[in-house]
Amino acid sequence: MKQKRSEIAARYIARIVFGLMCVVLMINILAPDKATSQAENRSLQTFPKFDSEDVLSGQFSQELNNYVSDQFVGRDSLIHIRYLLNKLTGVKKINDVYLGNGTLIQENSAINEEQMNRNINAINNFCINHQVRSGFLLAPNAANIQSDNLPAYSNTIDQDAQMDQIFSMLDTSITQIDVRDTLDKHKDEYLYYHTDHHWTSLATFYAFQQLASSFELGEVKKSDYTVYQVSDNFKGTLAKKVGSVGIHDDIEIYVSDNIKDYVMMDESNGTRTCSIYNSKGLESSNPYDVFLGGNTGLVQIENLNDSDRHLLLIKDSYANSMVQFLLPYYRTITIVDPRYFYEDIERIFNLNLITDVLFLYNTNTFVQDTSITDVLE
Amino acid sequence: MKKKLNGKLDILNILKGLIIGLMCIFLYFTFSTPQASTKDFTSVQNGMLNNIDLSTMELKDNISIKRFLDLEPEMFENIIYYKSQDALNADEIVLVQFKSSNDAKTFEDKMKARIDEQTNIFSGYAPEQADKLNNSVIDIQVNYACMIVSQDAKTIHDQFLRSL
Amino acid sequence: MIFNSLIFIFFFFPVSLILYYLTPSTYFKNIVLLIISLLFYSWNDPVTLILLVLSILWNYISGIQIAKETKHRKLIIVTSIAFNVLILCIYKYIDMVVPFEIDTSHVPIGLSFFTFSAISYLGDVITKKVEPQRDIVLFSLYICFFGKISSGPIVTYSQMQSQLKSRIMNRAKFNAGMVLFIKGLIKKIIFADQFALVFQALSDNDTVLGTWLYAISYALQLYFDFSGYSDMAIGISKMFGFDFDINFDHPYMSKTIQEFFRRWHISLGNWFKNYVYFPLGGSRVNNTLYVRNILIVWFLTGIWHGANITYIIWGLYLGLFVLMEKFFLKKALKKLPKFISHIYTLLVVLIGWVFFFSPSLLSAFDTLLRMFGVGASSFMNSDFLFVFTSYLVLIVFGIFFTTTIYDKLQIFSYNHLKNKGVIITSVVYVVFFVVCISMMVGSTYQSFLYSAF
Repeated sequence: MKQKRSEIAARYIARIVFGLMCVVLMINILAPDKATSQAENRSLQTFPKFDSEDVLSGQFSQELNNYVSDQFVGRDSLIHIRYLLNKLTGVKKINDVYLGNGTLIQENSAINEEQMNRNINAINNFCINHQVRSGFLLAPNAANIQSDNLPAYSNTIDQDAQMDQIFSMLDTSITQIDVRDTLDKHKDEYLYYHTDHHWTSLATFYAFQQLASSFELGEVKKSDYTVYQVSDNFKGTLAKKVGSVGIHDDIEIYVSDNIKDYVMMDESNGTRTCSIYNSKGLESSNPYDVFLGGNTGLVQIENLNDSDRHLLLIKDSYANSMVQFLLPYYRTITIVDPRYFYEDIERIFNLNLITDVLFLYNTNTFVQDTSITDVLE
Repeated sequence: MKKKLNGKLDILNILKGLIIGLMCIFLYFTFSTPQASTKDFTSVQNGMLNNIDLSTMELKDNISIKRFLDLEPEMFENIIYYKSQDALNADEIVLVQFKSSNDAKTFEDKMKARIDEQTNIFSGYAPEQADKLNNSVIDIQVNYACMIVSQDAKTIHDQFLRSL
Repeated sequence: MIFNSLIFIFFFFPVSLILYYLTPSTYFKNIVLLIISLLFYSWNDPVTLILLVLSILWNYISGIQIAKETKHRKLIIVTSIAFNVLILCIYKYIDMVVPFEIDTSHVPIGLSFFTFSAISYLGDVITKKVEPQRDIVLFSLYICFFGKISSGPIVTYSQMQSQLKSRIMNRAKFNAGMVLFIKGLIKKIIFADQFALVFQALSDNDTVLGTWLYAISYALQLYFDFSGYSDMAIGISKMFGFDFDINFDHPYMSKTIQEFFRRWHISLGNWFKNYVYFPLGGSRVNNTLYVRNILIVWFLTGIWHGANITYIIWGLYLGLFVLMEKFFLKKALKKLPKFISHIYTLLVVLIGWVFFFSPSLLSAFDTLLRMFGVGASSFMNSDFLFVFTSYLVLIVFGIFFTTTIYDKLQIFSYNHLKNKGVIITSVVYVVFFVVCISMMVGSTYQSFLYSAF
């Protein structure tokens, strides 16, 4: 009897899919468990311990579910399929990342009012108490400056209003370095990475020009630097969040022609290097770590120049690409990331004879930060 | 014949009665939930630490909570952390008041991790401290929780429960 | 354990099938299937297994008791059914009744479904439609077979009875079941879950068009979610040899509300019809009683869905339209062109869904008023356009798949494209199966420190 076509199709489909189920089952059982995900930057669930209490509460099966998901074969590649389906059907936002024109843009963060007020108070008190030159550089994010790249009809949180509010709350003794207009002039240039939430070295350079003028460091020209491209295939945090396909970035470093030798000490793990550029960081899953090797609590840089200025830089990761510009102007640079800093800031301040204090943050991180107050007080 | 029928039916009814009984017990346990404490944080803290000698302990700040316990102090309504001043002593007391019961799991996991970490450090060369860690208490109630590593762990725990 | 999870699809399901088919004879297969079903049920919350077992034992004994002509038979009948109803009511409605806070996190899976199955069994034994099942394995399998326990369909005992002892298990059925399972998975993952995102994204949009799309996306989400899950359930069951009736038959193509409920959640409608409506007299009574019967059935249908007055209003609202159609509306609609009937039905159903998804009557009326311009901030705004343009493709395809056009297209491709049609269908199903997997993996993909889903 002639088989109906639907039955033939069903035969193919069922065989292939059932085969897939069995093959994946085998692979998932046989392949060794991975402990961490490079792409997601977190540890993955390993096979849960068999504990009778856990079994009864349903904890065991929840962990088993997570285990199967986390250890699923081809996880990182499957994510690209989801991205493609979304992109091809016109979806313009996955979680909090906009799929813009050839670029990914992070949604702006909302302010954590109570926390931010405490932080600004702590910053104000710190600067007032120490009576040295103080500056506050608040970097805008891509959704703000390059809003033209956002998909049509996007409605992001108003970061300009947030930044205006923050600047208005700072003590008058603190030099405000508001780089929005500066960056706006260059907004059609490569200011923000297409696959990462950081700004590029170019944007950092423009911001530095303004900082140099505010901090009386001297005139700065692009010709003072030799620009090297250290990566042409950088896929950053946003690409990993979303599983994007076909977008990547270049990373450039700006090496000053006026630079003398220097030593960089990472106080958190005691390592010493003579370059702020970290090749291990560049080859890691997060190439932005080429700058300083990533974020640690305390880094000390000593320059063999004849400057008599000593900088205390309290920062988030946006400042990592700024350090390369600061090197020629300071005898020492003490870099503190409050999220990982557990020491006594007063001791650090006095030990290094600080003459300049600079706070450098990007707005999205600053409005949500929970570490600054505890470190400064 | 009728007697046999009745006998069989009686068994069935007895079984059904048993089922009803079991179901009632089951439902009772399913629906009885522990109640949240209405006491404020200070009174629970004072009650828990009543008559406890804290002279060798230090009340730690937020940075220490982040560093040693791997917890974000802001996620809780209230949190205090006592740690022994002596680096070779494992004594620690943590009391926390939750903002939401969802935080209980995170707290429990972090406390377990801390105990494990400390146990690894102390076992082998300081058996007394390892013992204290072995007898440590982690108790998660509805809106309060504590972690106690101390000679007086049992006393402190009892006082904690009573003060709720 | 849910069907649309990686652990089910790539562990539990294939292992169950392999174990089942390796077991000889239907007798042993049933035992294996029962064990698998109990394991499935207790997977997430082992404690609830106690309740399931107690319920099975109770109904098993009750069935045997009722079949005997004994004194107190009426009492036995009432208490037997009351036990089931009480358990259901306690779990569903306890926090409406009790003043203090109750921990409702341990609701047993599929309680509403297997309890209704049990009641239908008792009902059929009472009316002597069936003999009581004396084999505890077969009876337990009827109640807790994992293919249908979590969300139905509510299969009546008479339907499943003959299939318990012996059923046809062949390759064609296996294959057809798998295809149906995949179809359901696609409906759930690619359509329902995505419409849920649209629904969420528009939850605070107070423009006219925004509110319309909000309601429409819910209507589509609910349809694809429920009909998708039913497809998966019926497909899985088929793969173990069981043939169950369809639960959804293109309900959004209905021309009247009466027709809508012959196409939406068919097994539930049939349950209420056979075990409440007909015992009350159905339509073979005078008009007053008829109206009463309809209202009772619709009240119960509403409250079955949840312990909120919005569900009750939803049920009664639809009941009202059923009554209106019976008495005059249907005749009036017949005189108008067909598309008016379609629009009428869709509109009535859509407004009904607003009650269904709103947390309170107040919020339901707010939403409805906004749909018709009252209290809306504007006709539309950029947020609406953002969501609409992002999901336009989804919306178009979603609407397309609620119609019967796809099925006709399928038949056309087999008849006219012949073997090419077979290849195309096969490729499409396999490709979208993989896409579903990628979406499921994606939902557990997290960067930084978001809490788990």
